[in-house]
Amino acid sequence: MSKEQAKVVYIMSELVRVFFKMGINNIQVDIKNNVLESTVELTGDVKLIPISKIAHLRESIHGARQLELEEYWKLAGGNLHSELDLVGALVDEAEVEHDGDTLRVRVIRKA
Amino acid sequence: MIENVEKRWAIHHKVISEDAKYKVIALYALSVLLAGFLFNTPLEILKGMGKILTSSSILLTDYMKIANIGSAFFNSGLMMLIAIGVARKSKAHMNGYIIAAVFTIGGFAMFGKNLYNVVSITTGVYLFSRIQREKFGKFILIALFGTALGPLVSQITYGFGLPIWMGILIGNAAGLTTGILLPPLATSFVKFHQGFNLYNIGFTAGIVGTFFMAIFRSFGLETPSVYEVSQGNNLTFAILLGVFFASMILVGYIMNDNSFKHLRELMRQPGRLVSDFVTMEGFGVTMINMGLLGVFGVIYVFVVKGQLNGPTIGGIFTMMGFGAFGKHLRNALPVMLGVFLATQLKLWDVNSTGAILAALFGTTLAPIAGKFGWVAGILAGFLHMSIVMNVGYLHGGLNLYNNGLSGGIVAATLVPILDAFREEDSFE
Repeated sequence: MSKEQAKVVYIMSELVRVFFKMGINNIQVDIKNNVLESTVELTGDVKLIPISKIAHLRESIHGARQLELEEYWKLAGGNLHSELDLVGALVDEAEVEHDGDTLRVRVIRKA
Repeated sequence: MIENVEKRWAIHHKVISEDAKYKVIALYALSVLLAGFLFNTPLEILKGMGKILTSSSILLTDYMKIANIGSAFFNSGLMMLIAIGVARKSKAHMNGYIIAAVFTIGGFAMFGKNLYNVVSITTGVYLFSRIQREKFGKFILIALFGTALGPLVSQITYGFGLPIWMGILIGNAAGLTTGILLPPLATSFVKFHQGFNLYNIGFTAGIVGTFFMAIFRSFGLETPSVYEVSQGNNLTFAILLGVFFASMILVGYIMNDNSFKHLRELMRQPGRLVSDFVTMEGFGVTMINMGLLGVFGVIYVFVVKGQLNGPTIGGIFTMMGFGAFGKHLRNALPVMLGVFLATQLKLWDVNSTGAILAALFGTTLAPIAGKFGWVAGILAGFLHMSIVMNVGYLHGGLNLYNNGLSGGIVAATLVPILDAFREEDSFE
């Protein structure tokens, strides 16, 4: 596994951790990885999840890539504490979609 | 509905251009450099710089004492401007982490870092990026903070009695090697303390310094015990620093739409790595936070009747710089209180330079207070005081970020215990 792929695993792990913390237990993970970019997409069933938690996620996740913070990539998904800001710094784009029944989070990291 | 969150942030926060942020920070660096001329003539500063550049620089070498005050400020401002230049050249964002790095370098350039002893380490990190075929920008923080091991280069060059050509050769080879070793180690060691020790490179440099020192000792080489600190300039420095930090609060206020908005939100952040306050809450409010921390640092030194000198001003600069990357009064105060309480019960005088440095730099553990509360923060500071006074021997003063090494040990030990007993919160 390349270092780039390892970073994608850590990003996915952090997003799964966040979904679990929100109480979402039915999660589909979709990863696409090529030489140009990697996409991690999580879809979860949120019919029973309070809307406030989804609003909180919307507020917290961002996609403002900051190369300077790459040093800390191993913190993502690796412990009990939130690293959503780090995920935001490791990806170029972040999107949140909520249609009432399902929540979809997609992040894109360019090579 | 698909939403790009970055765009929404811009609606609620004033966006400051990279150019403007660079200019503001560069002006503060320049003002530190120029402050040197308030104390000494250009010729005296030149001679002082000669002494600084040829000093072994191991802890605790106050450049104000071994050279003069003007040279210490000049060296500090110069090092900050160079750091800003390197960051600009590598197209880094002038966000919280770079601001923290710039002021940390400026702080330690009062007592340990100089142009001679940082070049080989930074070059080593650059070489690592070339070897890995990655952008240098990814390692810019390691390149800047990694200069903590500057005394390693200076000590080998001037302190072991080697012929000067051999000292320069071996010293810089050690610096290059260090620079190449730091990136993989820093990335790995951050997991040890889970981001609760803000001086991650300090911990990493402490381990590297410990290895070097152990090797030196196995060849019969020992670093001397150094305690060269100046005193007797409290009033002058307090006025100078007061103006410096008050202007930060004022500039921040103006750049924050003439308001203190978002300061409350900033102070609610736990501050754990990575907490870039510039990205989270904006540049203006971050400047306000930095100014407040700087003012409090000066007040603390006065309250305990300590001395403002190169090392303590360095500690205040570092604490203020990390006001952009994890620290604020709410999470820093408990740790400082813990150190203060420790000095009341333990061996050390509260107003000794070592104890003051432990209080100022001990705020590397501020995220523990931010995450687990006041009591945990006080406990962290209390433990830090004992650990920091014991780890200096390991690296023989070669690692300037001694508190970073101690902070890493305290955080790695305390956090899993605190985690085991805490109640889980809603989202974190």
